[in-house]
Amino acid sequence: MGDVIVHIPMVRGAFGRKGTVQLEPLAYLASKAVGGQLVKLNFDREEDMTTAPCRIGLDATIKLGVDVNGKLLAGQYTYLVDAGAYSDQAAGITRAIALDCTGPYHVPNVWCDTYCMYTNHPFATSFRGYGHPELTFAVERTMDQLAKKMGICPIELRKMNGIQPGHTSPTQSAITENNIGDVEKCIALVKERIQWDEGVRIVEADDKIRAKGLSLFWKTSTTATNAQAAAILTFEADGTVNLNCAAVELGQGTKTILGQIVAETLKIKQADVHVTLEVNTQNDPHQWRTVASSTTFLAGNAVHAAAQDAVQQLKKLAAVALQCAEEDLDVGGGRVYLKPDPTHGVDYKDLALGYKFPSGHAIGGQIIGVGKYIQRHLTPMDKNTGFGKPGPWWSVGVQAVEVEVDKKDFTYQILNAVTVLDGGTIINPMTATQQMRGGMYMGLSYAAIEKFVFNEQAVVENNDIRTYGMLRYGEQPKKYIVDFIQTPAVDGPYGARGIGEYGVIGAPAALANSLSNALEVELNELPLTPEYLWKMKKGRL
Amino acid sequence: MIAFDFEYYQPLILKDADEKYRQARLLGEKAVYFNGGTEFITFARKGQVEADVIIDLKTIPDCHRLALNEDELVIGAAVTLNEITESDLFPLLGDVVKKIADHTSRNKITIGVNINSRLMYKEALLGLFVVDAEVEVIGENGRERQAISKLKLKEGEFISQIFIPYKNLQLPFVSLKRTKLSKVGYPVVSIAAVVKDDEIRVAFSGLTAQPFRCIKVEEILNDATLSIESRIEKAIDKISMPIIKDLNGSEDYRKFVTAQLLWEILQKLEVKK
Repeated sequence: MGDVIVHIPMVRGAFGRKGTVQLEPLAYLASKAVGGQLVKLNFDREEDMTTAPCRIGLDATIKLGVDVNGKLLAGQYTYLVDAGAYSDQAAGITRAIALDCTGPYHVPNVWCDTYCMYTNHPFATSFRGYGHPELTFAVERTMDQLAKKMGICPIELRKMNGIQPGHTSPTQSAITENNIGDVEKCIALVKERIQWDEGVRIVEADDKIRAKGLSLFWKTSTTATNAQAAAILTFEADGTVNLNCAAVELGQGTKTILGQIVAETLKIKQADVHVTLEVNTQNDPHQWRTVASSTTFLAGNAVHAAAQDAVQQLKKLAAVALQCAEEDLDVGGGRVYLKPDPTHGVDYKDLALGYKFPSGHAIGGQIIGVGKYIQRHLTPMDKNTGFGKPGPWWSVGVQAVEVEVDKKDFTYQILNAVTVLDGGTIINPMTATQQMRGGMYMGLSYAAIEKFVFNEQAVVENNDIRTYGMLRYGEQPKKYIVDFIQTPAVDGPYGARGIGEYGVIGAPAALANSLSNALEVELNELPLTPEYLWKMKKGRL
Repeated sequence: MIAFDFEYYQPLILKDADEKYRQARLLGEKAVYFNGGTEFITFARKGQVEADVIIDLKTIPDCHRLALNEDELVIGAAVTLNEITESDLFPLLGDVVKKIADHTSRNKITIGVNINSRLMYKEALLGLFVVDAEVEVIGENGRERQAISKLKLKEGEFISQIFIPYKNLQLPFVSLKRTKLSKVGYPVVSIAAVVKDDEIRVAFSGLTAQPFRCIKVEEILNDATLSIESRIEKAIDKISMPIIKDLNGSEDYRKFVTAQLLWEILQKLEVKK
């Protein structure tokens, strides 16, 4: 493995698809066949859709038992994961579904069977949400149906059963103040933002019905138990800083956020932090992967540690230069200074490559900040019980959608789409907001129209963009509303947990719940095309 | 990529296009008329069409005519869909073609390609069926005019121009299209209707294997002795070609959508009569 060097440019998008390898070994074999010459391997669109992996399908059966007040007592979950022809990441996704099978609810008695199934469909790999959009759809549709059966408001049912510190996860992982977001606060804010109290179902003129639906969701990052990241900071003669780490920029803004962490810790301007965009496995320290909404947490912690290490070295050298104790010193404005009298100080640029006395003597050598972070106390699932600690924390959120449906022809428009997420401290609110918007769009498109159509021989019939529909520009929600609750994680960089995938997770369920409310019919399948809505409402096959 | 080599021929007059085709035929070569390329390129890339010679009609000035005289509107086969809409010379057709594909594609899709499409939709025909349009066919008989409703192209023949009678250009009309979900896409059903001499004429695409206009269907829709619901139900039953089922919708759903659209059309056109 040490003989292989991987150069990773800015990739721009992937959403999990790059979590597996398929083209890379093929390109290697092709190059080997021609004596090592440079080869380029492309799939054309149609090949890409059916040969390259896609996302899983899911068939779920959920049974929930409650007491007379609506408090959950027991849940039985059966998840069949359509993995396609090869298991690839679907095995991991199957596990991830089992680990979070209940959704963010306190269910004292849980039985869950999750099966990774071979089918003769295109094979599946990781896709944004790693099984959670699918499981959330099943759980949240069940919760809404339960609320109707009990005659309880769907929001009250969620509030009553939301998981809290002191509870345990389905696999008996302890939920603490630090490792989960605040479900109740998210619910309260979504209720306000979607204007729930104005009415869930409003009949309007022109045969239109306006309706709302919501969904709760959570996810933990199921990484390898030894998943880790590291970072190296080097300094230039002018006191600016280079950040080297193997987090891959996919358009999620990770390099910006890591740069922010460096700037915040070193107390310098972000413009003075040069983040290397490209990754080169020979030069950069090892990073587990850029998946699982784990990069801000793992790489962020490593970067934070590297920056703190640099601060330590700067202070140590400055103490000699300023002839004082390290404890008397602080950093700010690109310099190290004496706390009681900040006029005494020395600029980073005079420390970055060692310190030179007026006499010419030089000491210290260049500052190189090194930091690393490895997951703590993660365990695999016990073979018999399934118990285990799969990930370091859960981020939670609530999403809601408001639709306007034409009850004559079952066409609809998505008016508002709301996300309130608790992902700990939000290091960059603008990129985080955009992550949520993009995720919501993805989940809504997925739910509204996306689906492979298989013929009787299980051949995909719609493997091009003309026939595989997606929500187009102009069909996205008229308004995206995004808010964050910031319950800090004590072991995250500046209190951050992970948020990258989350925007997609609850969107399909929220859309299905809102359309089910609008048409007063239970919509438990995707996609939610007008034909499907018509079929369900008219009771025809 | 297009995985075969071909000769690309750019005639300047209609006769040369026809002759080139015959020559190719004699040499045992496969020739294809090329008119915008939106279909040929996509089908060739996917390996669904092949040719030894492609004959470009866009280089023939006759195919670019877009002119109104006191008798008729002339539209050359190489006129693009956006050019038709933007000219505003024939609002019904402009409206119908505006619903085909997306704006960028319509800069390239020509009306000739659409009415000769390898796919079943040919939605531009909706705006031509209901207005007694004619076409000029180039073939072994030279230039020949045919009614579009009776059009049958023999191998090697192509359409150079389309004619619409002047008096039919400003008829009251409604054109509606429903897709699986999006504004852009192949039709579940697409319908165009006009009022002429106090009677409704209507043409359908996406419903059956070919777009059509049916006099018997129109007789029922114009039968004032029946209620609107009754007319629509009977009219749909009268359609003799099988209703298709495909990726965009099932047969029953297509019937449902057709009924919805006809309802809306009849409401709107009754007012315009």
